[in-house]
Amino acid sequence: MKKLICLILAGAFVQSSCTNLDEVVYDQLTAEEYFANFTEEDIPAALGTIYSDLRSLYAGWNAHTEGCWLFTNEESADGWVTPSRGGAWYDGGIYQRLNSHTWNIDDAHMLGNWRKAYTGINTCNRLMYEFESANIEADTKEKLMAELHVARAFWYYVLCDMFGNVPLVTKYDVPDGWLPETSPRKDIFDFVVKELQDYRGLLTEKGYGRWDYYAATMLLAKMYLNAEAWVGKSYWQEVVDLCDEIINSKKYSLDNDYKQIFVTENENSPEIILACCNDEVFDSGEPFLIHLWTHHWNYRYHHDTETFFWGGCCATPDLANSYDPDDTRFEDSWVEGPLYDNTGELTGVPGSPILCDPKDPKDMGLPLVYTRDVPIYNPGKPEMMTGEGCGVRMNKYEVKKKAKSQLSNDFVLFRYADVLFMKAEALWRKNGKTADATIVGLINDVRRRAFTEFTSDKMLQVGELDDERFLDEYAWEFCQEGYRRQVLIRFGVFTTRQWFQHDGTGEDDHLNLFPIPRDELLANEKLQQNEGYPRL
Amino acid sequence: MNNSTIFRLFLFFLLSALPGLQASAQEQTLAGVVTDADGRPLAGVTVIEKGTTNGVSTAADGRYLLRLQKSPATIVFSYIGYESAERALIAGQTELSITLKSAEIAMDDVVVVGYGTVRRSTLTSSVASVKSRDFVEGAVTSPLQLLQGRVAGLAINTTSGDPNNSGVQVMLRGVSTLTGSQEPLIVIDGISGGNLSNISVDDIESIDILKDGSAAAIYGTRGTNGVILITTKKGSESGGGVSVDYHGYASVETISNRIDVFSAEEYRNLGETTNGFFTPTDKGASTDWGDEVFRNAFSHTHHLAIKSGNAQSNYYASVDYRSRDGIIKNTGQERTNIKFGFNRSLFNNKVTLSGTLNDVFTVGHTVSTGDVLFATLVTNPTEPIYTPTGDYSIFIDSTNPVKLINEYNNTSRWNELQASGKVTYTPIEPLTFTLLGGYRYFGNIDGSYATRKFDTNYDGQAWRSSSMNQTKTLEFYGQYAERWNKHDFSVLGGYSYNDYLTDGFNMYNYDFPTDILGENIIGTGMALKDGFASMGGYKNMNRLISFFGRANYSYDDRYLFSASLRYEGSSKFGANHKWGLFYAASGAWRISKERFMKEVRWIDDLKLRVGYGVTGSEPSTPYLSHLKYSFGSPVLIDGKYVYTIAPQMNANPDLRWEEKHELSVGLDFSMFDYRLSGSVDFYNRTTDGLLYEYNVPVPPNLAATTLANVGVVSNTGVEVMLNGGIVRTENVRFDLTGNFSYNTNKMKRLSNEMYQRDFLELGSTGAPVQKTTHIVREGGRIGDFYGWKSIGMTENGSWIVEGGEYGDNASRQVIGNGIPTMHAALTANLQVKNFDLSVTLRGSFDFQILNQYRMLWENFARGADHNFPRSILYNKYNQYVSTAPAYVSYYVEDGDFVKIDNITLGYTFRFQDKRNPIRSLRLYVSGLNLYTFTRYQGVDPEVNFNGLTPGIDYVSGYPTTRTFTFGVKLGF
Repeated sequence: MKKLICLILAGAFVQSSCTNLDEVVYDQLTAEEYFANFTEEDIPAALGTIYSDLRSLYAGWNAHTEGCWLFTNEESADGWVTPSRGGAWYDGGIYQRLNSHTWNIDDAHMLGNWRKAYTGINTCNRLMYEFESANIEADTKEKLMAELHVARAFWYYVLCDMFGNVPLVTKYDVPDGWLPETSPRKDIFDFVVKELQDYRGLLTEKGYGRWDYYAATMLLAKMYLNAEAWVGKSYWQEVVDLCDEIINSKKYSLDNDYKQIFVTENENSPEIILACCNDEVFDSGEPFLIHLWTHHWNYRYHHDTETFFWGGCCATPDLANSYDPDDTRFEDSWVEGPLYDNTGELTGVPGSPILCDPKDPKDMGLPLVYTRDVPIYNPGKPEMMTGEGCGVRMNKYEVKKKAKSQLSNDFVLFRYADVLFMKAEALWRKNGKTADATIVGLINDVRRRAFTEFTSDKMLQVGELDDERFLDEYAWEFCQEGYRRQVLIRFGVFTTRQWFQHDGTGEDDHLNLFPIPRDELLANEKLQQNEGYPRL
Repeated sequence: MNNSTIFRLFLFFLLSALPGLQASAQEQTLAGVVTDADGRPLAGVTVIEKGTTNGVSTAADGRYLLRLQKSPATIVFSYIGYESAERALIAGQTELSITLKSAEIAMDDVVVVGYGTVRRSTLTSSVASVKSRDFVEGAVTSPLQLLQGRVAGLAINTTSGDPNNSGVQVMLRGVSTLTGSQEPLIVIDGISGGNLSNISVDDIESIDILKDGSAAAIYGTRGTNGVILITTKKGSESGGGVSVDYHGYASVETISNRIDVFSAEEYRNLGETTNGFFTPTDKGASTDWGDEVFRNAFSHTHHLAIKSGNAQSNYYASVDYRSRDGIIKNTGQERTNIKFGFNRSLFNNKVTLSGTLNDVFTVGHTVSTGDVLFATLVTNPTEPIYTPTGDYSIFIDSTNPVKLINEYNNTSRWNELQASGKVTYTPIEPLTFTLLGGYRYFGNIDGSYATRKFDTNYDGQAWRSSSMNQTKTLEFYGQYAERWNKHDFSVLGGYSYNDYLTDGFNMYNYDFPTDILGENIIGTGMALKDGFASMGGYKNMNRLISFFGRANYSYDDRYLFSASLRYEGSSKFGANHKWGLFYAASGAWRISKERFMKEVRWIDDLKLRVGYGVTGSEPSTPYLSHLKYSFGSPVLIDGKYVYTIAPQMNANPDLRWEEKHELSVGLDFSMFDYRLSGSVDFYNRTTDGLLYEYNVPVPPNLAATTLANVGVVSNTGVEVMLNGGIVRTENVRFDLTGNFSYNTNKMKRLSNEMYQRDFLELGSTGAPVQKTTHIVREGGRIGDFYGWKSIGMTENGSWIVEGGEYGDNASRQVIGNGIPTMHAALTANLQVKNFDLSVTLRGSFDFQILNQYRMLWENFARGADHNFPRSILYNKYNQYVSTAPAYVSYYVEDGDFVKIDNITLGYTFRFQDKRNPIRSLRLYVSGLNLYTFTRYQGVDPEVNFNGLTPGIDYVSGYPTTRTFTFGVKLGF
């Protein structure tokens, strides 16, 4: 008997290797498994991460609360505002602090943008390291590496724009416990320019939704255009040359219809230089939700969509009221006016007006109308509240009938009209902020399609182009595209312009950069806080 | 042990193993009187000759006369409410009188301590035991409810009346983790990992709870939250033939408490009631939404058990069927349990084989229960259920409650099989080897369907999922005991192997050709063709391996020592900490055994215990410690969508267990002839290396947070248990049992050199208030509510808050705590002749509840088309609240409560006549959760007390219930 038990036990011990604690990973790949089987066929899946990272500029279920490039750069500027309404959209005051420039180092948007940029950089560093040792043909490898360098340069451009002085990390295999140190903005700027100069020529000439030669060229032009504001040195001729390179390539042109650049199936617009691809089938994890951010929850019944809406952000009255009444870009960009129950599902009678819910008693009994005016119900309170219907809503990206929560419209990051504007601005600045026919002509080329009849009174005249007008032209053409903060800073009015609840007096220049978020300072004590912000 | 003992034992086994040989022994009789501790005769005591079917009952004067069949015989005396006694007769003995000890004062119950048992008198640490005779009679959902109010320091909350999810929460000696589970380790007949809701209460013999760290340390990384050891019923060893027991009961359940909202009539009159402050929106109908969805629910349970056998071979088999309706219409559960167990001794008892098999089949039906209660409270009572066209009426902030129960349904079927086999081998008497193998398999299939009417956006939606998890256990241990004069010594050593596997998948589809076939034709949804259907899958494993040992030494039963070690490794831990050592030492001094105590006659027993133990807790999910590549969202590359692949998480090779160190001191006592007994325990437990997500810089890290062992929390408390035999007369017995516990915790550290956190702000008030509710910070208590302290209202109805303005983060302060610091319970048992009555009161004290419903809805600002709590009319500041809902202390209510948990009245028939086929019969009625004394205004102050955001009453769960039961217990 004893022998039997001993045998059973001995068997059990040997068989099950009685102290084996190795994990068998069933639903993920271990690093060893992944690299052991890596072939060129695996490149798209590995490389694809840099493009899913790029989508974090604007996409994600929580992009509006945790912060993303699109939301943060628009909300902190003069065209877009998110007041509290319907008992929601306060979220600790993060939107209102952005819009009125009273943000602090704890605000989620600081951390969100920082993390998204460094996640993008980390992916590039990692892939460079992984591809370096992978079995890939030399030509393919060279192109891949160039794509990674440019993708990384883009994220440093974003950091240079938003945070300025940030750590410059270019390697994946760092020693254990190593922590990066802050580099001055100038170094970041020089790094990005150098990388783009070195690698742009190695890229594919043209590829939709990829970092190709012209996308990299436009990025370099943007660096030079902002150089004066960011590092105090101007490169106007370089901007003009790079823009001319794109213009002269004849690969891009203005779309005849402004709306077509942003429709559901916008991938064929000749104007797009770099787009981030969206698709309602594939994007359920990280969807493009600008329509949910902006429209009233009952817009569903007005527009017959599958999705509900969240009803937050809208145009500032300053922007909404600035358009020329004949400028079709207003209607192409914003929805104004009363909402109707076109489906009949809400009221039982198709076509009846929709009333405010009202989640706020002040909205009680009011018809639901998107108005240009955004009155504040409780002035002086930390929580600025407005009515459910107040503010015209974003509509630049077409919301198709039966739209789902995720839009299929590709997000336009770089487009040809901006090349014309950049060239015009560079020439104008080079010329001592004096316009001439060429400069005005570039802008009028873009303006033309916005008017049914482009009569001379609608044309921009040489004498009209000053700072203010240039800013307005930028706003009318490029609202909701994520560049507004950068433009205001380049024109030196980010802290001084008046809009909505931002009075623009007594603000310090340090607000032209966002603070290094508290959580990052806590995690890495080598980081330096930007000037004017508290260390912790 | 000398040779003659071995010889005697050998002879004993030889003889008892061969019962047939003694059949011809000469007939002999045995006579005597059976009395209780007070010397009163006991009538109806069963007197049986062990290993035979030969037995009699004592007469009214306690006398018996038994014709013996064996020689030498062993006699067993048993009687309900008393400890059984066994006496071996010496050759020729003709008389045996005996005193039976009342069961609850018997100090020498056998206590299960993990890998063995000890006598209670020799325990050196705090272990609580609840025997089946003390179980609450009534329709409990989970066996954990049997422990409610029975064990000091073990707080048990019933937070839900859901027939498919008992919502029972357990907390032993406070919160000692930030993200880990607070559930104690459950060990059923030696096999860990079972699900308590899948065993029948009637199959449980006893439940033992290892409370002290020094007792739980033998379970290593799983011991921190305490260990609950369940022993199920076994075959009969009495040799008394086949016995059959039936227990059946039927219950009616009602909602424990309905929140007082306005009726349609009162709502219509709100204009007058509020002097025009509020104008109701009269939609013309009168609907009592609560009546539309709640019901009095009926359930019945039947348990049939058969057992037979003798000391050498016996078996136990049972079937349990339970059908339970929920108080929300269209919810319910049907459950069938089958259990079989056997024991067999071979080779002169040198080898015993035993096995158990427990299988449960369950079918559960539920609806969209999460929103039902809320919707009944806030939906305008003048709204009709249906529109004139027959569609469901639509409301702004709530979903039509009738739609919730009719247009969404879920059916879940599961099967849990638990099988174990055990071989013990005793080569020589004090040395035993045990080999235990266990297998547990849980499999379920689940389907849900929401009709076209549920969400008009879809032509029906369907969900299906299936999952399994299994545990394989192998344990081997040896025990050896020896006694020299007054020295008692025993050792235990063993090995344990546990392998866990989880596997599952799920799918979702919508737009179906018909609603009639529900989720059964999930493939026909158009969303699949359009690319919007979804599917998921997962599979993971983990393994736990350990070596353990324990040594006990006692001198003269006066000085007792015990020490244990467990060297345990888990596959979940990082490479640098695969294995951990968990140890414990405890000692006890039985003061009452000292010579100087001989004079103190009123003290029967007095024991001082001291123990120190180290336990751990594992991270809850596997695969956390090293680098892995997983698939992320797809992107378009060269015109084709591909799934991206990248590492998603930082590897942490330092990941390890949370480690708890506990020091405990206790005193056990019995006095006045065991009429008063009890214990007092003090403990201090510190948990180190609490796991939490910490920010780390990216790069060099891959992700911005890392799960790391950093924080430290301590818990200190005291527990008191008292048992009193108040009245003991021939016809009347009255006993009182009470317990009390106090616990407080302190967050000692949240940061270390590598990982920094100032504080954690957690929990959510929900929209439209949108604030965090709790704070965890160094020096604070877990469970602290952090918000604005309201001290009044301005004329225009805004809150005046202490130290600043509402909404200004700097003026927040701690405005309560969601974890009760004190729990107490009192049970009274009265027995008058054949009647018995037991009453249990239970209470929790010194804690607060955020009444989220009041915060959001005791407010006219929510608009006209809603219902409100009646309390909206009685604001403390004589003002109607109509500003935006706010997270102020006005809605953080004291949760202190005392409940009449249970009242049971029973009658037991005692049959004297052996020819009567019915051996025993008992009838009882009982009520559960009968009444709550509390100032709390919500449904039930028993709300969630687990996790880091305890004490929020979301009014979103399944409401708790009150149950009335009638039951029959019948023995043949």
